Amino acid sequence: MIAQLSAALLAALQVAPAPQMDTTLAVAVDGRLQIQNVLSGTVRIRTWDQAKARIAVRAEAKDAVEIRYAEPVLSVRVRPEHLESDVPTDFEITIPRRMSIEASGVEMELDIEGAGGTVAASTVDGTVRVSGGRGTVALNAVEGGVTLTDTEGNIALNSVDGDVSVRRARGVISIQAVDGGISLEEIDSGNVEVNTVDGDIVYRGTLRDDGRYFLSTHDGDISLAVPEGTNARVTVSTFSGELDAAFPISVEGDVDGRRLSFTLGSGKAIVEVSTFDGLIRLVRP
Amino acid sequence: MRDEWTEALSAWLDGELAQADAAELERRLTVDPELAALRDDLQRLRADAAALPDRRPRSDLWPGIEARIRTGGTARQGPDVVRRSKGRTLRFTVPQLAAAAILLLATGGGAVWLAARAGTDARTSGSETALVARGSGPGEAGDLRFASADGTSRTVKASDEAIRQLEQRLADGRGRLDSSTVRVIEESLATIDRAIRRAEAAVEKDPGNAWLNRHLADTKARKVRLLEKANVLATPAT
Amino acid sequence: MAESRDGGTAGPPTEHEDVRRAATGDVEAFERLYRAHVARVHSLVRRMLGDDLADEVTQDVFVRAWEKLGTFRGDAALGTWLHRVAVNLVLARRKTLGRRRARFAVDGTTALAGLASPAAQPTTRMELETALGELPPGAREVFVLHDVEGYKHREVARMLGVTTGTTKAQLHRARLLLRERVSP
Repeated sequence: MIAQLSAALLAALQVAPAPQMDTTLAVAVDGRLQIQNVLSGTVRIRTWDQAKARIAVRAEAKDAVEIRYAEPVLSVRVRPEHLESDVPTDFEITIPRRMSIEASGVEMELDIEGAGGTVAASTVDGTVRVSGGRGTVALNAVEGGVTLTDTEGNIALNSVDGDVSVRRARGVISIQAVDGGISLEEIDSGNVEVNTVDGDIVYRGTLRDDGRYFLSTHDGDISLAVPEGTNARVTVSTFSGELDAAFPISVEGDVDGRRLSFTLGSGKAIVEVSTFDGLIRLVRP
Repeated sequence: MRDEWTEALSAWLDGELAQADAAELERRLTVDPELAALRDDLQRLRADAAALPDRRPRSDLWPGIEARIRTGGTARQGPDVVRRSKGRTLRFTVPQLAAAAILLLATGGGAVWLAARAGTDARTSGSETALVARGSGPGEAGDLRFASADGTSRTVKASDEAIRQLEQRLADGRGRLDSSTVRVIEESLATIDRAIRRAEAAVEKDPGNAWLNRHLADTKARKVRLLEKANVLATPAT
Repeated sequence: MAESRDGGTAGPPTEHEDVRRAATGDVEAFERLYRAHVARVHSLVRRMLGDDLADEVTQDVFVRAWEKLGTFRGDAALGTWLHRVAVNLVLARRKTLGRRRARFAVDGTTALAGLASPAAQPTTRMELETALGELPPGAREVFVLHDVEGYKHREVARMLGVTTGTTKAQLHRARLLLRERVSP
């Protein structure tokens, strides 16, 4: 579904007619972009190293979108009188790399690349794809899924119906999903909490000595890569699942009949892996 | 027998083979007994498939259905109003824009709690209120902690009563939701409900199991969070 | 029994009347509709998703139908409308199952490898039903939607979010696999 939507997004942007509005204005490089009232449409944001913002809009009418700049906030929103339009409003925006981004919409596809500031986004029906983000990255999608790459900071992702994928991320990570798998690859973090109800979890990243890692799913499998030399106290909990370890472990106790623990190295990190009914795989990277 | 002709056979049976290829295939059927036997088998299979009788379930499903529709709180409503737009079969409502913005605040608020866990200060991007993820300390499993920008916080218990109230509020407000959103939320609630039922069944068999009890509490907390989110979407902005 | 206007007794309510009553909250009327259509719905669900989920998803279908009955315009037969509700729910459910498809990944040959050799008896429908349940999910979905339910490839492709090339290949695969199992 994500591939199909991305293709649709690309197609829409490539074959769409010329924008009704295309404006460039000077902005503070560390300001904030606020995009609001996207009832239906795609929002594509790119960055550059200039103290300017360029906003191109395809909409029902030339004046459908209001752009206001009161330093440091650049506000881009669909005017209320145009909200009832049947025509989606599509944005192509280029902003200074360090600018923060806030975007909210309903049937909104969001595609951000090269973000160098904080990113907060919320969509009800649409995928959220962000590359970049520094400081705080908070993404929320009800239906559509979330993809995040090359980011650093405090990361909070929420998805109701859709997969969550994070790649090359550094920082504190919290991910909640209901109906979707969660995949984390090339992660550098000492604080990871990942939870889904129905979906698999994959974690490939650091297990730092001072770290805490919680991976939990109700109905799904968990695959955790454990690098050689890891120092961690690992607790595995499952009601009717299985554990499959690619390396020798010495189980230290069967607490409550549903949990078992073992220690790797000095046991400094805390790793808790839990699935109600699924396979827990401990693998080497 | 060449694979390309066996594959063409399926298309030919469905009337989807181009004329020239069909003619060639029909010629081959007259000289290739294996291919002809396959044709006969596939024709019989298609006929049998189309004639498969319908079978009732082994047990009567009605009691379960009746229980759900009587207690589901789904007051009989008028037909869903679906406005058709060009190129889209559904439209969302303007109040949902405000809801999406509130969800944005909630998203930002999640970062507040996250940052608090990480021991750093964080701002809520100018928002006035912020929903926060669940607590995780001892005795807090399943609790929801809400933080405000003014530094105050409150805790909500993920109790069955809390769930019931949220479900009722959502039932009252669901008419304001687009049917696509309703579908997603219902399916996700159904996912969580299934997880809760399984966890409850496990706890019933092993009531003293601390992990199972915590897992059940955590799963109920997930339901509370989802209901909170759904209620945000369903509540008109003031 | 309802009385007709001329004072005589009328027969049991028609399906149209039951739909109207159920749409206003008459649970007994809805039960009659359930009993009339459950075999068809359950069979579709069972064939698409397997025995384990059939009862649960069939219940979901009827609960959804109860909630949506107000939108039923009567321009198609109720059975057709119910069928669409069922297909939509099955496809939505399929999405979550698909995420764990890798866990149960079997290719067509191994899926049926454990079955006994083809029966010496003439083909029975029960054998076809059983073998259908052993098909890999993708092939089974296409076979059920196309050969059992009668949808065209374009419709099946749209429902499943794939190309018609894929549906044709999957259908052919399903037929060959089933042929090995059910031919006399």
